Amino acid sequence: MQARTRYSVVLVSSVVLFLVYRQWLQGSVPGHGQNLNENIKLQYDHLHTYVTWTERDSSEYEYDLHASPKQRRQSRTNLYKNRKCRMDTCFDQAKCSDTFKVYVYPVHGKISESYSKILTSIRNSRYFTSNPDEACVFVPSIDTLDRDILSHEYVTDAQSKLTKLPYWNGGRNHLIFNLYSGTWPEYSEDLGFDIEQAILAKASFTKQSFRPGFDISLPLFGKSHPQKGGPRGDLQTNNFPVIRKFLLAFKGKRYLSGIGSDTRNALYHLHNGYDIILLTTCRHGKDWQKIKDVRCDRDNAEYEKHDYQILLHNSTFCLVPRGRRLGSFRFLESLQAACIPVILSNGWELPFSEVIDWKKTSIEGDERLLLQIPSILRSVSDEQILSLRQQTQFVWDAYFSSVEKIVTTTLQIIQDRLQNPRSAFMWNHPPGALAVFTDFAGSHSAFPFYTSVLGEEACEKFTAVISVSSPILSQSAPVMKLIKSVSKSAYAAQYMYVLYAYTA
Amino acid sequence: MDYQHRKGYNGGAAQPARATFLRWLQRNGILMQLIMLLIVVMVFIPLVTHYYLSNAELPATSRRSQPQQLSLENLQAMKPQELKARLEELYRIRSSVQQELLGLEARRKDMQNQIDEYSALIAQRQRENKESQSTLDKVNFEIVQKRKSYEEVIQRSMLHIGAPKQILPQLDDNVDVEPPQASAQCRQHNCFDYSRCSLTSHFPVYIYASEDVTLSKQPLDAFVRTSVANVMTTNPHVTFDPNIACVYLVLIGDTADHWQSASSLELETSLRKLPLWKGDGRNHVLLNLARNVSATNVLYGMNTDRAILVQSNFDAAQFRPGFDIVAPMLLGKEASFDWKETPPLVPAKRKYLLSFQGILSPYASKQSNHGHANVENVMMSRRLKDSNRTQVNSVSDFIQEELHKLKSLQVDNFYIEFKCPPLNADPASVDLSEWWICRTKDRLAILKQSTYALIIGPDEHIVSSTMLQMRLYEALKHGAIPVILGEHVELPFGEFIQWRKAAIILPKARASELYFYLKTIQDNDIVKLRGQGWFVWTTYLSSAKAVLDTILATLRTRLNIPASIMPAEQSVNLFPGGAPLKQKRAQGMMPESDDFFPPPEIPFPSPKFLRNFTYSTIDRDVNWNTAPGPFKLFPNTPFDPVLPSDAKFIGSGLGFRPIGKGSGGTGKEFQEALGGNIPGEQFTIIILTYERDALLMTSLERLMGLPYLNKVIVVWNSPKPAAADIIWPEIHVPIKVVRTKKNSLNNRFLPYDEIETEAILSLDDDAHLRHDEILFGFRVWRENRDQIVGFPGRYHAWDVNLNNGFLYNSNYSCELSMVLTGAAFIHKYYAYLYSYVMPQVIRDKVDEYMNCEDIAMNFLVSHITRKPPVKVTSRWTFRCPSCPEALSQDDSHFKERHRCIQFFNQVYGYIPLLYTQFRVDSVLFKTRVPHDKQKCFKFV
Repeated sequence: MQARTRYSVVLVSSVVLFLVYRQWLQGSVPGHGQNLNENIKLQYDHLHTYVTWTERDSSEYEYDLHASPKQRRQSRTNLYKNRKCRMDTCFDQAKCSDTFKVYVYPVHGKISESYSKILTSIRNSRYFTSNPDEACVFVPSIDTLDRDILSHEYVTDAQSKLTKLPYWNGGRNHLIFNLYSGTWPEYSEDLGFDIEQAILAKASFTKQSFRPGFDISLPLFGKSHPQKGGPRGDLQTNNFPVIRKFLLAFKGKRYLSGIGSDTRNALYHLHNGYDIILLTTCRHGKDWQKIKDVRCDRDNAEYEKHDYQILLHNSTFCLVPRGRRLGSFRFLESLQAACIPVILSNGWELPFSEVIDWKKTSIEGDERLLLQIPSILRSVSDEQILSLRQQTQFVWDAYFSSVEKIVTTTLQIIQDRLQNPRSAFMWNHPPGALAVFTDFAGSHSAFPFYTSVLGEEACEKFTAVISVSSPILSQSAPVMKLIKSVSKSAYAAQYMYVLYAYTA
Repeated sequence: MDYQHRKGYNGGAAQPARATFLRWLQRNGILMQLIMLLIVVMVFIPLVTHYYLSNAELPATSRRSQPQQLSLENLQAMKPQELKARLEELYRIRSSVQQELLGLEARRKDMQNQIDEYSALIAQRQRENKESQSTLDKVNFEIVQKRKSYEEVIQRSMLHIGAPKQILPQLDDNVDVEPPQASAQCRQHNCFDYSRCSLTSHFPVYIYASEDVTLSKQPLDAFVRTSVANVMTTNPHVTFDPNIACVYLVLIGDTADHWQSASSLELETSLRKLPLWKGDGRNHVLLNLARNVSATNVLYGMNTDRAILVQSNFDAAQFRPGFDIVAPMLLGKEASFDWKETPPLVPAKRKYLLSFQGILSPYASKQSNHGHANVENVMMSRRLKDSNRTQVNSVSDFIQEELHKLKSLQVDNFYIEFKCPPLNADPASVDLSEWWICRTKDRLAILKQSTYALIIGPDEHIVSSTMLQMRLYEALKHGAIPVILGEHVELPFGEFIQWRKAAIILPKARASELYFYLKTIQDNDIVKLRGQGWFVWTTYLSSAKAVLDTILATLRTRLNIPASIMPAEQSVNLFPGGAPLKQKRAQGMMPESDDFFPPPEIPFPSPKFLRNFTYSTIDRDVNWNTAPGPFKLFPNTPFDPVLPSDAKFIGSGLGFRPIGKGSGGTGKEFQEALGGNIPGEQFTIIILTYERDALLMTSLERLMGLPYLNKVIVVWNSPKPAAADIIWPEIHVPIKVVRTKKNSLNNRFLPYDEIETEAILSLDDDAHLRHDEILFGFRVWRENRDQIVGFPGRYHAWDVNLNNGFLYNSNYSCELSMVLTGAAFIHKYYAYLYSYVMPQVIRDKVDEYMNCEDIAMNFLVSHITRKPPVKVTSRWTFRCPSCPEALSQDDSHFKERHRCIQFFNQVYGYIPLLYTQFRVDSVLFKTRVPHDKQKCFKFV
């Protein structure tokens, strides 16, 4: 009798638990997700996709295709110690509680032209302070731009020099600039020294070693990049129709062998001679003759037929394939020339990707799907082209046209992380985040240049600011006339006179 | 009522039910725990799972960017021209890519071809490397071998003994030996001048010309004189220079009248007049050889100084053991006997168990008054004999009585006769105690039917007499085993011949037990005794030559001087220059197995004549009592004693090649060294050929690189010279082509002087043996040197239909008794025996049939050794196109071979062949060995 009760109680309780469990499980599974997937499937059912974008594949896109798994592993382990650095863990935010100031160590000895431009830009910026105690970010005076051992600008013994810096403190709050890392034949990302907890601002950053929200990816710029006040974008007019003579253009070296050679070697398939002009030359290094292939002579002859600049300015899209490293000069050049960059550089963390939405500016291709590029480009609508082209000009003008802008953007990104961040909207709309001060207002609508974009009505009242340079001596003074006529306006809200006191 | 009760219980017990439940819970703590555990598990598992699942999704959500993809949505909106243009572009790209792919494919193919070429090159290089490595190994091995053999040559050159060299003694060397007190005291040590007989002097013998010796008025017996003269000219020891001679033979008898008219004194003085007597007659041998039973013991009581007496009659007082020689009578022909009269050894038991025919003193009355003609000495002896007369009679009576008893036995057949006409003889020369031989016609026929022949010895004062010698001779000749009553009797050449192996010698007192004793002797012993008797008779008694040779051999053996060398067959080269005219280096044979064959050594001969002085000492009894007897010295015999196996590591290592330097081994180590119990050696291949040039050339070519090969001798049986256009292969050893006197299969076994090794591999010109088979056969032969070691086996089978003999048989059988000499290892010793010792009738039969030489060799070897041959391996590759198993001439070939067996049976008196039921394979043959271990040979 008792045994039966005992077993029935156990049975009943387990059945109850099972039912509850099952009920709960069913509730937690989202039914609509399934439906969504089905819809998508239906839509594309009749077409074969070229690539199945499974998770594995897309993660592969994030890899540098040309680095061997061994290299990838190595780069990971090299960086592993500080791999998990984030602003919260590796950055002393206490120093930046009220102001964001940057201290530059005094320069000893010779540094490269580019680096001196960077340092000068910092010194001239509003962030600069000469007092290390109030500084939030420290910039070493050691030139770490070129870490290619074969380069003549390579600075030896950077490691010990860095650690000897008076405020180094394990690299905390330090910002290190780098344009070139690694050397032939592997072009790894190893800088040759341990940056410890410093923030790395680096060109040709790979997604693998990039620490999101901490490191900053720089564009690759040349020695001749202007210090400040760089040239405007080359787009003079917004013609419509938007189509230029060439659809896609490229002119550059190909390497025949080694890392990064595959994509460029395959470009000739796309070249059609009338609207897709992809020119490559084998002339590269001293002994290219030895390793040249059958196409070299034909390619070299073709190469001479077109001028690079003319191509840039007469092409809708410009191909920006990777070189030996992931980034190339061509990126900035095409931006400036209002030629929409078509990026073929798998695994590249695009410059300032933290803030800039490159989808609005460029076409990101996949090296593995090179042959689809013409079709992709042809399916870009004219409206999109116009939008992309204009965005190139904005991005160029706002963030890349001079070294100063690049440096300022870098610092601005860091500052944004700490205090009063600018929104992505601000970063990606003219006039750009550098022209916006969030101290002034927190809302977009407070800034008149966003109103049209936001579709808001601008405030109908205005404040007249009248600058007076000479004493107002009479009512009939032109100034007075001006005031009178302005005041007649129904929209005038305030007047502000700026009077210059004369101490004659 | 019941319902009510229940209802009441239920309704009124709400409160108690809870209490009981609580109580129940308390009681069932474990159950509670179980439920709690279940709840906890059901709650926590989803939580944990959820946590991990959400974590796992994190990377996916944190994915940053994706490349632009080809969107296909606006394709529908496209204009046809545009669509066409885009398609065309895609086609163009595709064709461009295809082109590149084709180019790449072509390049890939090119590269693949290059890779193939290179890998082929690599493989070739590796092969070359392997080849040169193995060549290097071989060369290294060769260096080691050569170094070793060089050291050994140095050692040997000090030890080497050639054929004995003759060192001629000078006359000045003569040393005067004190003459003994009386000649009766003479023994070898005190009466023989050793200084004339150096060990290496070849035992020169001088025989006085019969003209020089005029000892008697009566001339010498004609047969004795001529036969001795003839025989002595052929004896290798005889010299005509007395100055170098070791012994001097003086033929003094028998005379035509058997010394009836001789005077001892005259004889004595005429002996002293011999030119080389030198006062004491040292080293003189007086030959008094009887052909007639009437021969008298003329030398009895005579002073012969130091001379050695050789005669058939010896008085007990006269005979000096170890000095004088009891000679048999010269009853046979001068130099030969009829082999076809060999008594058959079987059946062991003949019709009569024992036969005796004789008559005691038929002329006793005459004899007593017959002494007048004899010299005084003889008379003296007679008187002495007479004094024992009574004793003699009693013994004779006793024997006679016992034999009479035997005669009456019904169980066995006896032929015993005491009354018969005696042989014609001078009664004066016969002792009274002598049993005369009967003159009956059936005397020899009875002997042929007797198992044993009784010989009753004379009185004790006579140790040997002509009557006794004749009885012995006749019994042995006809296969009746002599049963000699009287142990005092000295049998001929008893110094070295072990008569107990051929005859039964009993004291006269055992006459009563004779029957019992004879009955205990088993058939195999009977056959052995009979065979040995036949051997003794043929070798030592059968002819004048045998007797004289034996006399000299006895003298020589006493002096430890080696016999004369058995001459080798002079080989006459077919080619005047020695080598064939046209020669071409043979291509290296494709190895037929993966075995490691050591590189060929430099040919070196087997050492020979190493035991010249031990044959006549250590092996003296063996030498004298087995075929072929002591007369010849062979360079080697297969019967040399074997060292214990530790000796080769401690002190006696000369020439030995232990496997793995003594550590043993298989595979390579085994192949590299011969091992075994005897020093390393090589073998000679003898190929008999007759006008089959092409076959011969391929056979020769196949021998290229065969290790341990010393030389190849091609016996050119054809009377025609070799065709000039034949290109002879040049192999690593010399090939000698030997011309023959006539086309004979016996030439295969001629002991050519070119054969420098003990081992001979006899090959047919069409035999195909693999190297590993040959090498293995050689190794087996080295352990069975006295046997034929060969590949194809045959046997002799009893003719069950006719029941009268053996037939040759080549069927598959699990018993074999012969191996074919078309592929067999044989000791060179047997080549000597076959060619010079084996009865000529056999060789003649071989020539007659052009067949059977292999059967003859098998008979010979089995006869000598009483062992069957050894068959090795399963004959993987031996094919024998000339063995007409399937040919039409089958019949005649086989009939000849049957007849050969029957004929040889007749010559030997029995079938010497023995059966064997095993075959020899190498130790690890068919043994499962681990993969990393090697076998001795891969296939044999």
